[in-house]
Amino acid sequence: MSAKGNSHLNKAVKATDGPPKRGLSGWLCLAMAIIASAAVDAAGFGLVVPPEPRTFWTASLTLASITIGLSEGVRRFAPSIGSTTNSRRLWAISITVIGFSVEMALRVFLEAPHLMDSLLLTLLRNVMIGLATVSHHPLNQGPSVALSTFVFVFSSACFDSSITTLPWCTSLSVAFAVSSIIWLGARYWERLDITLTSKIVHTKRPWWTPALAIPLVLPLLLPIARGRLIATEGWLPTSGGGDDASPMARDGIGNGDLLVAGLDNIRSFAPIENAPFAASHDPTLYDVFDDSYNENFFSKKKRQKVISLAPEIRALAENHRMAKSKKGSREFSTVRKPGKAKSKAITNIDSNALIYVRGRLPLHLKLESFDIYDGVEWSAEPLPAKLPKLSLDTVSDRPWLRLGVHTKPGDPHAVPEIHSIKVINLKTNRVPAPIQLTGVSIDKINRADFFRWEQPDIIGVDRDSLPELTTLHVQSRLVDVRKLKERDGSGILSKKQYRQFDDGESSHRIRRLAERWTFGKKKGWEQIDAIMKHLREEYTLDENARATGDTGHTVSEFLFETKRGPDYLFATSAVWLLRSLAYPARFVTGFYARPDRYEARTGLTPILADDVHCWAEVLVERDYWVTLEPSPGYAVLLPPLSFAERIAGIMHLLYTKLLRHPFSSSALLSVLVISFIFRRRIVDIADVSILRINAVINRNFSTLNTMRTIDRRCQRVGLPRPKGVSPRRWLKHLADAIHSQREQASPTEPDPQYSAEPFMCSVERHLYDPAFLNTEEQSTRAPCIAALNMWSWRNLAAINRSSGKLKQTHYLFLHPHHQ
Amino acid sequence: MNVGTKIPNAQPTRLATTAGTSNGLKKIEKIRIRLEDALKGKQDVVQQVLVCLLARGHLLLEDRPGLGKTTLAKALASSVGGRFSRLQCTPDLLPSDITGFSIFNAETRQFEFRSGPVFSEVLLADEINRATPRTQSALLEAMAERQVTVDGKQYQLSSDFFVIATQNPHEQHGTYPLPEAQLDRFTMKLSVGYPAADYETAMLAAAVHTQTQTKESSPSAILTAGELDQIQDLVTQTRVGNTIQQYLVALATASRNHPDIDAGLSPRGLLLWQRAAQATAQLAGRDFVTPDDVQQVAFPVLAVRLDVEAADSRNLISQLLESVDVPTAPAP
Repeated sequence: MSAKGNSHLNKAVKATDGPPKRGLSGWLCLAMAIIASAAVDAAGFGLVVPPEPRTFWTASLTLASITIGLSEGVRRFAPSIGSTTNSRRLWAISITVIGFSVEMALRVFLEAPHLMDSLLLTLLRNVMIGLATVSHHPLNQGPSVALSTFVFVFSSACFDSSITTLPWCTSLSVAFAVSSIIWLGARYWERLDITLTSKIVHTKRPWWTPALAIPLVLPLLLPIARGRLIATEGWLPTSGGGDDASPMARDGIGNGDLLVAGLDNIRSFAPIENAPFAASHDPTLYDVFDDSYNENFFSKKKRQKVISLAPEIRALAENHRMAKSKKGSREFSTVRKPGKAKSKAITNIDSNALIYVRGRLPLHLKLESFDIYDGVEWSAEPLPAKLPKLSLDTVSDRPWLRLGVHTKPGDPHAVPEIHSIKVINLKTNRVPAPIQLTGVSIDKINRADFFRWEQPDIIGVDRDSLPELTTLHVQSRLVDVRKLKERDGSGILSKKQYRQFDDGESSHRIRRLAERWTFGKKKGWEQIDAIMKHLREEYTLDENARATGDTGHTVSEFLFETKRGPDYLFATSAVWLLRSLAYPARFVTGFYARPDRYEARTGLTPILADDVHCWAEVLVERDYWVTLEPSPGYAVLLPPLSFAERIAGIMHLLYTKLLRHPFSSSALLSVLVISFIFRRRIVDIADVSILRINAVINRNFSTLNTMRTIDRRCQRVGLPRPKGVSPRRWLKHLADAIHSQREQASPTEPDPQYSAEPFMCSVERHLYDPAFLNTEEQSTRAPCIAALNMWSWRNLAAINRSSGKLKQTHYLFLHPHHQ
Repeated sequence: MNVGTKIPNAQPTRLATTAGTSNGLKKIEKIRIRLEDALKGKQDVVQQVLVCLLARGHLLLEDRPGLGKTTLAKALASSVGGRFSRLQCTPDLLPSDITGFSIFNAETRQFEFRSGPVFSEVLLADEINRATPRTQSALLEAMAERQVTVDGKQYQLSSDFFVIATQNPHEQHGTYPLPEAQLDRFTMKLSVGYPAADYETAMLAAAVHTQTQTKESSPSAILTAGELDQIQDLVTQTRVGNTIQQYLVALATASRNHPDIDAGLSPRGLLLWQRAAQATAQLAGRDFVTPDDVQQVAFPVLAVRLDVEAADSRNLISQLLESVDVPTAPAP
């Protein structure tokens, strides 16, 4: 025998010996499926919406390792899966269903949105993964690759414009293209090999196969017949273009509410990051304040005297007033017109959001700070003479403005974090930013002189206003209050600034109140906490209450008489109370990003005109400002959590979710547990059902499929047919065991072997008789049913429990003729 | 229990067998009964002997003396009919003692050929490993070629020529072990083994009132020479599927790749194996071969070919059978 012949023989033996090999084409098929599912994640169809590089990598690597693990497991331990059309169908369907139910559960817990198209794509992706995991059978590679290609092309068409140019995104496309080309080559060679070594089997397709395409083709022909293609209402969600604006839609044309949801790529607006700095006639920040709080009383009566300011501050204030005349009102009066604020919707644009925020919530976005208070009116804080120098540097292709903030070891700062802010509909040149700002980035703006200081800690652009639809990225480092609490309060009092206070009677009364509230508390955070606690608990937030200004001191009026008022009275009182105890503090206005406005499906939080807010800030040590929230119902952003805290948080969330839905979660849990315990039995029932359905379709039982079903059933019960033992010998062996057990139980029953014998003969004839023509001229129903009843789950499970000797395969060979 | 007779799928096969051959198979069953009568409690040995007979193969019986090897051979010879000769091999046995020789006839003044014991239907070569290698090879040539050459003249042997050789285990004194090349000519190697205890008691009981050397009434032959030929032809008609042949090849390759086996199965051995499996299928009343048929004859067919100790061979062969998957897909 020639060497070549020998190698072929060896190959043939290896093919039957051990798990089947996954050739190059099989691996590539798997790789393509993995890349395509990564593309699904990258396009934001997966659980992580929309992707950030880190979450993207985590999600797709997890999925990739699950896929590879599953496919290697299948190849090693259940190599027969996917070898036939039926088993391929069963496998793909079960993977799809299992994967989908797991993902649905995850979506419920992660509060990820259920977008119609993303769910459909996820289903397709699961089918694709199911097929790819059995790619060691060449039969399954074609459908798997076709699906991968569709999924990949579909997903990559949905990529955000911002990620398509990034290296990892490009490498996805390149990797997919390269693997598909090599796959084609590898497939060609492997098929050639198969053709040389074996016959090609031509399976006959039923004549009606092309009819399956009719439902697909018909809609495409509709336009020819002058029909209109309209999506059925409610079937495919759309964000607009008509009355059907679904919140589940990803984008669309018209006036749907998601028109401004996308960060970068919005179809009906200009792209945000590179939007032209366009002019517009939208309302200014100050109009917004006046809309929300009503206008000032210009006829204010100052009953109480104010101490004179230091000349330099006064001069700065005068300068500031001059600037104000150019830019409109820059005082903040705590006395405003009574009545319900007219919440006027801004109608010239499709969204009534002023700003969109992405990042952790709740967030205080500061726009203006005030230092001097005269009992009624706050004066804006003037710019000091010396300010940190602004500089620009580039981090991962983005220009970042650095504010000259230097941190030293031992600073009580948390890790830096970034918020994205999109200005939609707000006329101001100031950057709405969180406290302790360290950097600002606007795409394409790479010159530091474009920015300027507007106020201490507040940055603005050197022009009239930020163009609408500008996206800002702001980096800030919160002061970790928990670290501050551990320190003594000595550092808090260091600064001389921000401690303006007056000597009036009201102020004395306020100081006494503050001292009473902080009695017995340690200086520092304990006292600050105590003041905030009293304000939040003993006073009522009422947006419609107004200070009269009659007393000449709105704080004392609020604290001692009305005890209810809007947030600016809370903030003013907080500042005044703190200053009475010599803590440096200031009054701040801006926006409050409410967590309850967070839109999970976009990851954005809109800030509406109603979200204007006033709060206080306290200065600690030399230059760390900390947000204080005296108004009840508002919260301060906590520093980012550490890993352990995050885990604890997730556990807590899970726990509370389970508690909140006790019935459904316990039902789900018990269903999961029960289906896990009876998983093999369930799969067996499904297997037999498929067999019976096929029997109904074909009007006859397939003897071979019945044999394979029984074979699989034996495997599931725990009595797998040993290698090298023929089905007949093994089934007979089991039948003998069943028989002997039955004889012990009820000797009168008929011999089961007799009823199963025709089936066994039929199986042998099908399998091994080369002259046998596969035309089942007579009904195979009776023998097949008899066989299914003979080697039923119950019978097999019973002998599996009782007999250990059955599993010794050696026994069968050493006593071949005594069976 | 008897596998051959009780396999329940002995239903009419699809290919209608002629009345003559089905009659022939009935006679084979009669032979089976006679052999089982001669060798009580050894149904599996009898089955393999019948397989070997139908497969037109030669049989090597290896066992200790007194276990019934000769009894079996004689019973078989008597059933098959035709000439039976017996050869007691000793170290001084010459090749011409087997094949025959030419002598000068003074009357006719010509050389006359006196045929040896190989000119028979059944030849029992007792203790074949006691003959010298030279004599052994003369016999083995006759087995392989079914002809002998004496003084340059070829003589055809009977087409039913069937050798049952017996040998003592190797470790016995004064033996010349058969070389592998010559062992390969045998289809099977069987060992009879000790009978079970109850058969031995029955044997003793039967022997109490019987004279030891009574002249056995020689039983009549069951088959005529032509009939055996017909049945052997029927065996060759047994269908062997593509998958079964691939299975056989895979088993042969596995035997060649096995670390404990020096020389694996030869192609000639593979052919004999397929024929033996065909015979097994016919004996089971089937006209196609199943993997079970292949496995049933695996032990005797491989035992004669794998150069391993008898005790190890059973384990080795079951290892081989366990290592190769039985085909469970229909032949394309």
